[in-house]
Amino acid sequence: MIEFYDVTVMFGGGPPALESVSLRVAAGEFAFVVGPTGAGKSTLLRLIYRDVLPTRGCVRVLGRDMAQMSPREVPHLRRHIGVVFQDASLLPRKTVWENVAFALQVIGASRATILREVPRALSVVGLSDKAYAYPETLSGGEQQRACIARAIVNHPSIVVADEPTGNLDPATSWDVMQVLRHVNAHGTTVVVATHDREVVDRMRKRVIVLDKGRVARDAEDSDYEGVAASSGVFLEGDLH
Amino acid sequence: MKVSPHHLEFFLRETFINIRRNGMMSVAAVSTVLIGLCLLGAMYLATVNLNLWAGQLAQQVEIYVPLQDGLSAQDLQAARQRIEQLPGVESVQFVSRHQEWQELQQQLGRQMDLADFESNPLSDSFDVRVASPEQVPATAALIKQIHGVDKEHVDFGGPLMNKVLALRRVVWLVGGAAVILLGLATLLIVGNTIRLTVLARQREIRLMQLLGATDAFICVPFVLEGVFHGVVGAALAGAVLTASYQALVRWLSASLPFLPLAHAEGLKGLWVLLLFAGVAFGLAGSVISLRRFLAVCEPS
Ligand SMILES: Nc1ncnc2c1ncn2[C@@H]1O[C@H](COP(=O)(O)OP(=O)(O)O)[C@@H](O)[C@H]1O
Ligand SMILES: [Mg+2]
Repeated sequence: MIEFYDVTVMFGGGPPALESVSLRVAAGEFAFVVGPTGAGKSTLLRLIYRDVLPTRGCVRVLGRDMAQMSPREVPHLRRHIGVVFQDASLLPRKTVWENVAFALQVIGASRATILREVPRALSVVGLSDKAYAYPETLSGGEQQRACIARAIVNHPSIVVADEPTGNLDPATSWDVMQVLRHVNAHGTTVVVATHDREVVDRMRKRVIVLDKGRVARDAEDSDYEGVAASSGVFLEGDLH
Repeated sequence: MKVSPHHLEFFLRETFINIRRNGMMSVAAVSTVLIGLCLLGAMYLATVNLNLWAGQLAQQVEIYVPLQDGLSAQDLQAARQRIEQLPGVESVQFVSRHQEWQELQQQLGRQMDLADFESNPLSDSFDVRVASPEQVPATAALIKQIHGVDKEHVDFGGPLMNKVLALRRVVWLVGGAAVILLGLATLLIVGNTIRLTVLARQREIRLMQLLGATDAFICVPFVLEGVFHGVVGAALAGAVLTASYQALVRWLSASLPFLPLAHAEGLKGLWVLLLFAGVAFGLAGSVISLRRFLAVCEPS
């Protein structure tokens, strides 16, 4: 589904944002990308939806080599990838319903599709009752859920989330993560960049640790530090 | 993608959101289009009228050859033959002073009181037609040397026509230069307005790109905005020019009744020209801005 072969990304001068990164995310997988600020998490995600091209190496997404894809094909690739940002990036003058519908409108979907898919996406993220609210009247967690609804409304194969819980309190973060887990449970591949240690520890998913642009560790069923047992005990109390 | 009314509705709504948000710049863009097109339209109207005038004069080019008073029938016949033998002469028609006097009375009867003249002040004359207007001056010079011709008063429409043609050249030159300059200014300002809209909506454009919208789809509302500026500017320019031209025609036909003037026909062409130019300016301005912006958005 997502394959990186020895990928290096350099922005102008300075040290590379990513260096010799090789990894593979299988269809249906849920993976965290963690690391301190500047480690290269966002760059890694942007490679997936072809917002950045590798300086060296090869990125393949959905079987296609990103470097060989023509600009005309990019919009069609992106229709299979839902993106969720840290700052919800909802359009302030549109209601939640309109924001979610926007994702379908801009790809020229029919009215019937919009009327069918928007309510479905809103119910998946539990926002059906806020459909006609404007983003500014929503809590941070609700905004992120609206953003996830927009990302999944077109049934993408992959959902990419860049620090979706960056500004949220722990309980709300957990809620948002549950929505992503739910999306993943229905077969969508999910890649989440975060430095929210608590969330990662509790989810028990694959964790790719980046440090200064390199993969420092890549472990299945892991926690932030890779010390599974202790954090599991530590989190027991918060879960319920 | 099939474009349906449902898509059109989306595009139009997005376009008007842009225009509303950009209030002052939209007004500025429409005003420049208006000024540029007013100039273009004025030049068009001037050209239409000058062409009409020149065309009419070209048809009328004939040399008026008055004859000396009291010419014998033989002298008259001799003069006629010599004129007919000149190169380029197509026809020579004799006009008696009585005949001409009557025609003049008919033509001008309404505007001039010919009763003021006690007797016929005209003389017998030939109307000489020449194959092409360029030959007229040379032929006229030769005619003046013929015996029996009142050479002081030999006349032809040439100088006036040359003036009309010269005037048309000036209109084209000065007007053309002004239209090009104003056209560039219009493109710049319309382009700049679109650029500001694009910048104001940068986040939305980026979002659309990440949501998988094609560049063509993203551009539509901005191109429509540019075209809107062009069309509104053209409509205003059309209204301004129509009103002022009609007033001008009314005034000119009262004070200069001989001047041939284009009426409604001239105005239909004017609207076509203005709308065409307005749409072209709007399209070009927005496309130039968008191309630059979307090129920047490509990943490197
Ligand atoms: N567009 C860019 N231009 C220049 N440098 C960039 C750009 N994007 C990211 N970087 C640099 O690349 C490195 C990795 O950034 P990023 O992927 O955003 O890290 P993270 O998301 O983990 O904080 C940082 O040093 C950052 O300054
Ligand atoms: Mg980042």
